[in-house]
Amino acid sequence: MDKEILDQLVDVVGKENASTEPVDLVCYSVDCYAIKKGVMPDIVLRPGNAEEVSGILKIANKFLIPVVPRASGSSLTGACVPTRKGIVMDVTRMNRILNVSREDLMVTTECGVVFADLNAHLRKFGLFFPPDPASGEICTVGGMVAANASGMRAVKYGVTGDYLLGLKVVLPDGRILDVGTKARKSASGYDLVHLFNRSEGTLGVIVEITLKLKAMPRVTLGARAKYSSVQAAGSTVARTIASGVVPAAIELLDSIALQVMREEAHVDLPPAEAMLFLEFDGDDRSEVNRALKRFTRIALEEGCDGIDVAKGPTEFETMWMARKRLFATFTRLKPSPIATDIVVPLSGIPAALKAIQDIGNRNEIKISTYGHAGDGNLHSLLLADHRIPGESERAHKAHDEINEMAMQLSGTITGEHGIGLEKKKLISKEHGLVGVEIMKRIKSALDPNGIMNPDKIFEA
Amino acid sequence: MTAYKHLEKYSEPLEYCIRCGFCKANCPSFKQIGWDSASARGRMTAIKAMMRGEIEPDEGLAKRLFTCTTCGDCELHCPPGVKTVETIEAARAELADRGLSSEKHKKILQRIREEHNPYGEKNAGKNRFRRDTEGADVLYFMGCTAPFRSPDTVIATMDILDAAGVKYKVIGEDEWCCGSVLRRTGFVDEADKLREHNVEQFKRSGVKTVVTSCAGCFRAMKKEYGVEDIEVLHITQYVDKLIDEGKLKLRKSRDRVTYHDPCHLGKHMGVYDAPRNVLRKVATLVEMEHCRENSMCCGAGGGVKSAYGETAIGVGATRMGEAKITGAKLVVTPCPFCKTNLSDSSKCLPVVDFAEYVASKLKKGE
Repeated sequence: MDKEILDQLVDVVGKENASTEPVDLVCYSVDCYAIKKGVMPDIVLRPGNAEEVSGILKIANKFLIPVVPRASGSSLTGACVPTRKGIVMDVTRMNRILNVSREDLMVTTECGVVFADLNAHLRKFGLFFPPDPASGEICTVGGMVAANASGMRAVKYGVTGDYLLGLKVVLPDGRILDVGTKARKSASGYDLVHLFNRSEGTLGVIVEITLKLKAMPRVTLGARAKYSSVQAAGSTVARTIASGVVPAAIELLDSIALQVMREEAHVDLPPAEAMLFLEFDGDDRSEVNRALKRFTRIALEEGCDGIDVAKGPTEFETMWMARKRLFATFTRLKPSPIATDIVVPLSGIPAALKAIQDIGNRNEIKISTYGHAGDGNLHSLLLADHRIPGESERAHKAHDEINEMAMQLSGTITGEHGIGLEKKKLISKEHGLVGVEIMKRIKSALDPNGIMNPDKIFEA
Repeated sequence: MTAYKHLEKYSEPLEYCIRCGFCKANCPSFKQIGWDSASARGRMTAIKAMMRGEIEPDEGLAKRLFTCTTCGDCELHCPPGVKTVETIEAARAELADRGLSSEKHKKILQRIREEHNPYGEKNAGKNRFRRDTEGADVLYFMGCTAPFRSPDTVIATMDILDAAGVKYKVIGEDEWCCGSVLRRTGFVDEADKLREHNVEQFKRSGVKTVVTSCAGCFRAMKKEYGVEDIEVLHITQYVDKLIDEGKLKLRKSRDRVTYHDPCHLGKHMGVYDAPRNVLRKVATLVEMEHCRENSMCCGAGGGVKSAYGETAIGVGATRMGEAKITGAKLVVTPCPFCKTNLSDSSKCLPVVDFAEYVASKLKKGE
């Protein structure tokens, strides 16, 4: 990049918020996606407000410079990994919670606020923002909108997009767009708010977000159910949800995942081939106990070997914490695991679990399956070591086969991680050529010069 | 990979860092500086890139690596179990070997070479506290910060030991810097020389126990000295023990205090209960939101205070803000370095050394 352009960019944010130091360039060439190493950008910029973002994009658009927006860089699909030289824009300085309305159950926040910090603040008002990604300690609200993130509570409370009311977005040409209202519903025109939801930074930079919130439940109850087969656990999940019982979380873990939690994360777990970790919540104890009772009946009919119920609200805290960090803990076994993020219809869970085992055996890859089974979202972790010849290749092949299987079951290849670089070769299979063509036209309408996060979601 | 002798053994474990980022959640330097490269994840990424020859060791890299306070929070929260602190220290040693240390750290090295303490004071100044007690089987290791910058801590510690009737030695100028500051800042060979000297002094003194009032010295001696036949105790542990044995009597006060866990005592060594046991006997202890394993760093460690004072003060101010919220009237901490930096960072509450606070609660006549 020309020095003159670099100087213009530095002028927008100030010297202390711009870097061309190799140490910064290399750190901003990666995210949490283990497979693809990115291109080192020319410069990293840390704007502090919408006007600075706008200033950067005006320059980038004029000189056709690629811009990769990012916050915490916790993407598992390479959504923040630059594939070309240019600008990486770190938006984490925009980290103010602007307004909380208890009466309207609503918050307006800047994009760089960390999910956990937001909820810590909202607790003071008796409110919470429910989507609960495993990376919630570090991921930001802006990133959650861009990826439509969710997690363990999605089964009951839904995903980030379900809470979106309004956005402030800086468009690729530098214009600042305010979309949405503070009304709790709207039938007004095309839904531009959700156009930016799961756009992965390809359409503009989300700088401000207005979210609907929920009142915090008064009672929560943790439990775990033990099984001698993962299929029985899967069947329990499908039947439980179909019966109308909706736990706040229902996580399935197979024997390998349980072994890693016991041996590597040192969580005290009883012996079992598979388990369901559950949380029930509600307004009073009897409501929660009723749900637990109904679940218990179904679980026992499906062959559950026993259910432990937490004696207090913190008893299973370590277990849940370890569950959230499970993906990264797996690297103690193999340093280059590949995660799937498929979602299948609930009735398809047992078949999917069986198919995943078969795919692992066929490709000689050890696979652990766990995830938010209550909404059909299964994370299979394909355990690979890139230093062993052929292992990563076999893992990638198995990864593709699992994704194909999900689509055959009328599911999706991603429930909460997004497409990024990792899954873009599969996007036309899921959406069809016409679907992708429409996506490309939308991209072109908003970003005719193709500067925003190029090479993500689909090929330019 | 390019030859980096200090980092060689960390090359394989580094492969297990997948940049999940859980290390960032409470990282004091990341929270202060904001750049991803100032988090453990960023530092691991940069070190790997340096070893692979993708980036060169330079001043920019040095700045990111030397602003780590080595508090160890990242290591406690690293799901793959990467030894982040050791890796950062090894990388610092590589940079130090290549002359990329800060001028402040070079100056500290020079002072230690000349005077055996990081402050450049005549080490003979430690002789004012010298104590040669016949038959003593305990050695009080003062460290350098207490005798040269906070002598009341030394006096208070000796008052406590005297009150409990402990027979102890203080070896004065024969006590050299423990080496912690040099090891943290990459001067490994020089730190080894200090260790060898001090271990020799311990052996010569014939003591069975070494007690120190400094968290940094405690960690260095316990973890890096390899003196298995000599018990190393921090003053918090020793006071707790003396009370249990009925040798030390303290009076309960109406003080409302909060306790700051020094990282080198808590996160690195797991000493959380002893200081709290003691404080509960003399005051009402109120905890900060982040305490014990989740405690926040004071900001001074790892050479940050000397070379990047602004970062240290910023981190310290955040910690003092937490202390203020508790409603406590003072902050007690058993590390002279934490005490200094917290006091420098904010005047919202007085910060008192553990030994000084305990000494003020000695029963008269004890």
